Amino acid sequence: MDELRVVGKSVERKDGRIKVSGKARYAADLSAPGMLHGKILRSPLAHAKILNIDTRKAEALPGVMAVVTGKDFPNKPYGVRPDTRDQLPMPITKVHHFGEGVAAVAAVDEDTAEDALDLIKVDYEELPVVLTAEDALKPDAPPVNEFKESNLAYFSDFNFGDVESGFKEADYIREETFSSQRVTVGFIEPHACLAEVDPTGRILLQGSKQSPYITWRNMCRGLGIPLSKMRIVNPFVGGAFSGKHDPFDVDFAAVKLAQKTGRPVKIVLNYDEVLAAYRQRNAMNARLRLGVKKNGAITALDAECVLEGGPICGIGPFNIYYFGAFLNIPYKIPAIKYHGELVYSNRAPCGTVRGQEVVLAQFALDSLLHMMGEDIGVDPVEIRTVNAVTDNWTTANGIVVDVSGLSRCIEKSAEIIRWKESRKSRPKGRGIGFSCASHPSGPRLGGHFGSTVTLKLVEDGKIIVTHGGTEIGQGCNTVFCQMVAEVLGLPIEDVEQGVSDSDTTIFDSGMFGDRCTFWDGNASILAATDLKKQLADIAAKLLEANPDDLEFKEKRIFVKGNPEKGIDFLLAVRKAYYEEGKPLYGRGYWAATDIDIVDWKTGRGNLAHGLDFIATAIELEVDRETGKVTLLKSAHGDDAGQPINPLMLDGQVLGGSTHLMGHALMEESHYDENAQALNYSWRDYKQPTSMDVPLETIVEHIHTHDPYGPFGAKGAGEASSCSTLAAIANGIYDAVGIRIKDLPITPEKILLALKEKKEGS
Amino acid sequence: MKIFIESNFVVPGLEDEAGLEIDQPEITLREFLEKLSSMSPDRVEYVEPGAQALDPSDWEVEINGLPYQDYEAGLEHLIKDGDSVTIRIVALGGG
Repeated sequence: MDELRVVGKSVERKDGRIKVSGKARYAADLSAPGMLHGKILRSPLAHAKILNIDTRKAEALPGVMAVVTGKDFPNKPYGVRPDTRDQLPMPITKVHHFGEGVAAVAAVDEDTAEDALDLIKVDYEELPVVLTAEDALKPDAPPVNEFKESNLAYFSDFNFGDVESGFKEADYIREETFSSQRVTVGFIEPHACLAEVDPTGRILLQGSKQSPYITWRNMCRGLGIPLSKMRIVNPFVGGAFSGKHDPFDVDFAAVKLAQKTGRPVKIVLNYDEVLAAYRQRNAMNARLRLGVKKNGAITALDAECVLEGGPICGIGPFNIYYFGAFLNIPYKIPAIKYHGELVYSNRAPCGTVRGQEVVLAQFALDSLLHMMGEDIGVDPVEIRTVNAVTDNWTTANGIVVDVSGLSRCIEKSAEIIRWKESRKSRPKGRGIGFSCASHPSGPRLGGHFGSTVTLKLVEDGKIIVTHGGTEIGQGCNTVFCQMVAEVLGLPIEDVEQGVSDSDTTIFDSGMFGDRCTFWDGNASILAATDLKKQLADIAAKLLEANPDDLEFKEKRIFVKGNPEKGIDFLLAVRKAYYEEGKPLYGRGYWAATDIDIVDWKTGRGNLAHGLDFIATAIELEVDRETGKVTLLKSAHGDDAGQPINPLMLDGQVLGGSTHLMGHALMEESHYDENAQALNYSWRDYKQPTSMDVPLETIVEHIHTHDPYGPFGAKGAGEASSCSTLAAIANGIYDAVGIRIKDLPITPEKILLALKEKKEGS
Repeated sequence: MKIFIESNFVVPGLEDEAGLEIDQPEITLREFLEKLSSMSPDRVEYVEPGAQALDPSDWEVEINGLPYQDYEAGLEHLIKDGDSVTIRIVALGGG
């Protein structure tokens, strides 16, 4: 391969300067002439019938322009799958969780809208609540969702390989249970949007959305309008981490209020509202039984998980599917039996968080693997190396792993963290934990699933990129510009990112599962190649050369091996516009049509390309007096294929890991016995800050070349979130010899376990 | 008669069955899907009431390996004993 000039370089983020200087315009910064301000009235109860909502006094308040409730929308549920639709724009007959929006007001200013909320009278009939998964599945449990008879929202049973034989072959078998708590998603920007309706009735929504396509489709269904009647433009988005796929009451209410008033309506939530009433990660209870040979090689796995997901199914079926189907990576497991359940409750609705439920599966699996290694005397590094998937490995459910750098990742992380040296001598209370993980670069859903990129080559020689992905902070706008610049031999400065607008952009099916760089990256290359061909045809005529013999480099087009025989890039552009009257557009689309569509029933198939791998090692210290865990150093051996932008890739790896450090040690959304949220402010909900993360963090990129990835790249950013929980749990065990299997691992739990250990000995 | 069912999801009401026994010699696709709907505990809606076609953004349905739209009568196509109906879910969203 020729030397890369832009790809593989840590060029400056396209959006970096305007973001850090406060100039980027997010949804809350938008305004429009005549704009009204919206506020949402929230339920003080977690489960209750709505007997009546009296909005007359609020509507009569001067400055109030409209009030909406659930009855203003068609009673048409929406959701991820046609058989699991159970959400309405706003509730009509009952509320399902604390803080659920029951009415919304549009007024001339925020204060008036807020005052109007106090004038809305809602009559409730309180219902018993379902708080936990155990409660939900009791025979006499009250049904949570009016579209479902039972609180079992979804389930799956997968069987891969011969599990019975696998356990018979095992030299050692151990079974353990693990649990994980409710956590918030953790993006910085609260939900916000601006809705407008033009004189023809066409809606424009500018919101903080992770996957505008998902929002668009679900909103049109929930509003009962065709797709062509709604336009979505994405402003800057302040993080999403899977918490902004769906449309929310914020979006629906803003649109309905705009329709009612004929004026633009903006709604901006505060973060207390987000913490109380919007997407969280499921609480999990899991049981794993694992069989291994004497050398630690896994022979079979039997796993069960129950996810408590609040009152909606949402993307829960994906969570159940991901947990089970991707137990097949990062380790070679010849046989797996899996049962997963999603249950309703009256806590806040769940989606997922970075890494999806691979995060939870890997916490359980990698903790158990470590425990069993300890039992049979196999070193933590060795046991992971023995089981690590390798190139061209086909998993028990049929996933083909084309390229795996996992063994080298393990080796690197152990080397950086100085594992061998630590076994000889280490300070008291210090330990090192390992975990591995893998994440696919996007699944193939039925329906619309491809990625599209369009390039417009302006007559000044600069390129505007529009793509169907969403820049949610992960850096996709920059890496696509890098790829385009690389193909066309231009400096990165000559490629700019355009606006994501449903009128001009073919939206991606969604920004999830590490798919953006992989899928849209390939589409970017194809779009640039399309443009290159058009320019080569023009230049070839001028140069009396074969278009296929032309090379694009440093803003010139020339005959390969003869740089003098060439023209400036800009001259070819001008030739197109000024002499041929030809606009220059490049179009590219890419879809992994050779992988299998998600099989919800069996979990089988070649489900994804571009499996990225990581081995995480974390050194930490446990204070035996206070139970406090201090994270000292993290070392990640990371295989994301060819790094497109190494610095941003570091950020993705470290971001994913840091995000889950809070999950491991401190974060938890608490509820009382009436399912009232207790800690829905930043004063009470603890997330890690810069003071809580390791002072020393090292990412070592293991360069592999994925045969399907753009320039050989794989997805990135989610695997490190999947490897962090178990690395910390394993590190705490290594430090003080206690095994805590229910997250978060708080100082209180550590002190209790230390006390029990002392008393037991 | 027996109609065989293939799917990429667990068909509610037919969790452990590969097909459906029906006490009549033939049935239209619409009636068959409505029957499936009535068997599911939560009344999964395959066909919107009054609709002339399935919503292609929700369901892909084939009869004996051919898209149902390829049959002249579409949803009113008569299914017979031993026919196979494939139902695939089209999902919207991911994590």
